[in-house]
Amino acid sequence: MTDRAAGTAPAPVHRAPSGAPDAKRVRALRRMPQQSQRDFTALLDVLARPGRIRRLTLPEAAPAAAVAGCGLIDVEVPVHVLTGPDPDSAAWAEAVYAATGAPRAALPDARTVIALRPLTPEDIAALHRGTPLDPETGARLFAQVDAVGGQGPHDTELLLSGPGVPDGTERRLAVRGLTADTVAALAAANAEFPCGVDLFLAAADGSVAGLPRTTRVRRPEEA
Amino acid sequence: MNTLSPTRTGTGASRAGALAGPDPRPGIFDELSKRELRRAMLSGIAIPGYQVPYGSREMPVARGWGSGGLQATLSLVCDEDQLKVIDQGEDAGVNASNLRRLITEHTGAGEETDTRAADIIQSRHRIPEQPLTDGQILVLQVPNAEPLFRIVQEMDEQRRMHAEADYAKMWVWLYEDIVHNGLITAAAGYPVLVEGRYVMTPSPIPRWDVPKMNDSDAITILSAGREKRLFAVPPHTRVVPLTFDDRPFEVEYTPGTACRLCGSDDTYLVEEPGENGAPGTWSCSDTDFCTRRRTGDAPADVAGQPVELARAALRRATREQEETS
Repeated sequence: MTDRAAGTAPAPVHRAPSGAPDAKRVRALRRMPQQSQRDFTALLDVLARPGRIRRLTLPEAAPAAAVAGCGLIDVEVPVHVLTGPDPDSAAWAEAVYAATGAPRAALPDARTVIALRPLTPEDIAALHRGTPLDPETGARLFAQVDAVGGQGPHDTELLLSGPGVPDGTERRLAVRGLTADTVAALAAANAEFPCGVDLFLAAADGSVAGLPRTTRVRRPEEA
Repeated sequence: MNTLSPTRTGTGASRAGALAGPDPRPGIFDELSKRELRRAMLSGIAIPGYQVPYGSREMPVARGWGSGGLQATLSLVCDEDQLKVIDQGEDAGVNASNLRRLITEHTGAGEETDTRAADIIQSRHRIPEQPLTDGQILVLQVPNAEPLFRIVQEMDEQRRMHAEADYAKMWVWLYEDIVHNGLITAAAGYPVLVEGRYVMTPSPIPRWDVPKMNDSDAITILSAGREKRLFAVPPHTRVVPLTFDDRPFEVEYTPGTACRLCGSDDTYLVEEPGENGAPGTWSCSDTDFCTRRRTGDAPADVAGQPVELARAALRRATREQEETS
């Protein structure tokens, strides 16, 4: 081993070439105690009652999925951020790591995944689902979508049942920006309870909805 | 390093402050610990009945005195919440008063005894008689998180049994209990099956309170600080006490008793021994509900209607007696 004076070697810097974290973005994603408590209350509520929609208060221009995730992660949670081709989402991804100190992980190893671009079935299939001995290691996914709870013609309509939904009923949830294929991939990933992934959908207006691994998701066109 | 990066040196508290903001009232529970508890609670809700491990922190109460419930409540509560803490249904118990005072002084939450007005209810050994509603969170303190601890001692084996849903030994144990004693003797902490998958202890609540967990409107969080595990039951989830088809689940009930204060005979009653050998008197365990029954401010039915189970058991017993005589 070569002898290097302690403290003189620069720490390795892993940064996407397209976007170094800028102060404004990092400040937006550094969640203060009161904010993370408020966000958590909303996230717990929507996860416990699939189909319910709550509203997070977002800092200006910040993607809702990153805001929701950044209140929960810290130095102990390996995180992967899925970014689109635009430099803006790469810059937000850097800000996630800078604001929380979370270690970077590849998609299959991440405990928390923040998706700043539309999810694909391949993304869902690559996620860690936990093991029967440690099901809680399955990925927790915060996905940015265009809208939840809308009535638009391009929305993907989901009918939800399972824990959190009264027996014998279904709750309707409309999502824009989540394809039917991705929903099918999610059902496949959650087919072997207790293993699976837990999904939060976050829209630009701050609306969030939760789909825990226990939720049975049905499309209306399916019998 | 630029100034945005969290400091690499300094104490854990200053590092937590750099990453999650300064603790508004430092002292008991730092922000990063709260985040860990919150992640565990979300995992618990997503996997109902599964015991999620977490790093239980040192608390200003001894382990076994509600340190797990305290950590869960501190992670949940905000200064706009109303907090109720009960010990055996009693708001004024020593443990309950001190925990309530500790949490409200530390977080700015309001003190509350009326179950209906509380946002968060931390409890030891009871679930309130008042039906809980959407928006309320029940935090139960758990001394023994593992429902299998009387059956197998090795933790690896307990984990395997939960992972494979292999509860055969649990059923054998319940069966042997009936063979030896004529009934299932498990009293407080009666084992339940959550959503058809995990066997869970409901914490040492009496059997009377077990039906209240089934299809509840509220979120239930169970936290064991000493055993460093947390589990949860989402609202509208099936929680079924383990029993056999020909041995219906029974609750504690003494025929002919009623509360000496409010007259209720459909609530959980505790006996106060009489003086000098005189017969004891009975009164409600849930003091808030008892007070409101007296002023006519309580609902007609208690949560889960456990008294119906008790009356059905009585009818069965009378019928069996008639058949044998």
